[in-house]
Amino acid sequence: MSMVIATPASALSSEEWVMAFVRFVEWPAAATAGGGGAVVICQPTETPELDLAGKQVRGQVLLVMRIARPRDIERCHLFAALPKREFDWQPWLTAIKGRPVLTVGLGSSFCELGGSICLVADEATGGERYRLNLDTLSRAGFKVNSQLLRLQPQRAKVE
Amino acid sequence: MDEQAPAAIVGGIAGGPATRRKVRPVSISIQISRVVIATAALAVLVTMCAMIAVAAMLARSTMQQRADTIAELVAASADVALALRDAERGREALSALSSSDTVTQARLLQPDDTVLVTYTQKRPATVGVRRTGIDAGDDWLSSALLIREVTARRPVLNGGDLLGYAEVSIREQHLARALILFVLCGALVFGAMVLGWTVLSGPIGRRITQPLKRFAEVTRKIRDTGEFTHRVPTTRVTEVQRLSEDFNAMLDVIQRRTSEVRERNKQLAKLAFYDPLTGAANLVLLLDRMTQLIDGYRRDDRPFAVIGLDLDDFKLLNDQLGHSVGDEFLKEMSLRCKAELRPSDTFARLGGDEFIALLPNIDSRENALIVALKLADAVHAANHVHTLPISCTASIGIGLFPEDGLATNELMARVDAAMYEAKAGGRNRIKFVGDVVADVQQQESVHEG
Repeated sequence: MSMVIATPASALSSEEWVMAFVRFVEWPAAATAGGGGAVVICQPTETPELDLAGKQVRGQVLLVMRIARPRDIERCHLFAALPKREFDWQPWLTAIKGRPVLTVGLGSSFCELGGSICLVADEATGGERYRLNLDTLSRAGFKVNSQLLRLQPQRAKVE
Repeated sequence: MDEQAPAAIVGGIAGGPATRRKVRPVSISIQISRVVIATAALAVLVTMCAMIAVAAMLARSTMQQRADTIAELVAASADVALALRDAERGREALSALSSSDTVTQARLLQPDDTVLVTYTQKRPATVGVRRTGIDAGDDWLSSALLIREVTARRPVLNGGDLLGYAEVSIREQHLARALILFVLCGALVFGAMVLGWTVLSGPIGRRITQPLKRFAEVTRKIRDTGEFTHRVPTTRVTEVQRLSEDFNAMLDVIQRRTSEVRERNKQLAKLAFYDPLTGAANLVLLLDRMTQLIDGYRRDDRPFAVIGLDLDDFKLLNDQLGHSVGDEFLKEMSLRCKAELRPSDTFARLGGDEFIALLPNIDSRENALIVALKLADAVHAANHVHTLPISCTASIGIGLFPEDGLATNELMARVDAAMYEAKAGGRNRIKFVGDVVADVQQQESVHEG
């Protein structure tokens, strides 16, 4: 007989979610060429700025760039759509479509609009979980860690 | 060795205070058994301890390697769980360890050592099952040998970033049990050795102690009899054989010297109790034997006779023919007189030409007279050996105990007086104490008649 006791973990912050996705998602080679070893995280100016500037993931420096228009998406590796309120992401996702830009947003509608990863509330636990839009990811050439591909289990309230 | 020998006294340090104590001698075979058993026990104990220590070190090293490997595997599959602080993923990762019966605990920790998830294996023996003595011994020995539990901690890295730690504790139950079996086997080996030695110690001990026992028997015979003619027999034990040879050689020397001492003592006794010229007894021996006869009379009422004999004209022979001729005459007449006496009689020279014959078991004057006449004849016969120009005769006095005296001095004095009375009466005569002087010739004629 054996027993596994999981200590209740605190919810991840937006920054931690982003860093986790950067850590376990592999960009297509063309996307990282000429990047100088940095991962550029773009945020619309309307969203709260993520505290990621200067941090490193797997030896890559994270850069946060605030962008005001969809057409400024060209230099981005990751588009973080994590506003405090409802927002219309369609223009942004349209501009990103077909580009090797990982998009992370809130709500299941974000994935339905073509986003790569969406964070959704888990009513059962009161926490959050993520969903992957494998079509978008595969079309853009991303390779996702196999563990990340597993069905997202409930989290935050475990025993 | 004599196992029943009395306790020996062992002295203390020379010059120091008396620290004498009694020790009881112990047989060689027993001492050998004790030494062999103690040595075997020590050797087995040391060997077992050394082997257990080495085995424990190897076991701990092996366990550590195994724990490190498992921790590495856990770390490799726990990066996502730690990165997402996903306890459920961590639980699934650690649940795979349930197939291992050696992993007792595993934990995933965040970089600040906060525990994300813990896996604990519960030992079957602790759930409703009574623990046996082997289990208790297993636990005790495992703890004593520091192999009860080994923990490995490995960082969970992703691209060089520290995501947390994987910590695994393992426990090898079978190894401790194997060590217990090893100890038990060692104890069994030791027991077998003791049993074997107990069986074999009898013949081996006898083989060693038998020559020593024979040695002791010889020394005891020598001590009891005082005779040094006994010898230690040969033996196949080299050390004992050498000791026996030396002891026998020492006995040879002692026996030779004892013989020499006895011979010298005999010579000294002869000088002390016998006349060196004639070989007759001297006054000391005469008085001693007379005293013995007097004592014997008190016990068994046996009388005895004393015949005093003084040579007539011996001084004239000595002066005219020289002392050498006189000495030869004395020796000759002594030999002849002793030849006439019984072995139990004593013929003594008191000095010069005066002799005494002591005759036990003579109870009448007639019997004493017969002997006196024989002695007179012997003296007369000695004259013819060298055809001496001067013929010696003897004046003889006879006394009987107890009628002529109850004490040595008294009897001797009366015999002496009778002897000189015979000499004064004309020589070559025999005189009884207190009686008339009888002419020898008359006596001889009477005797012959």
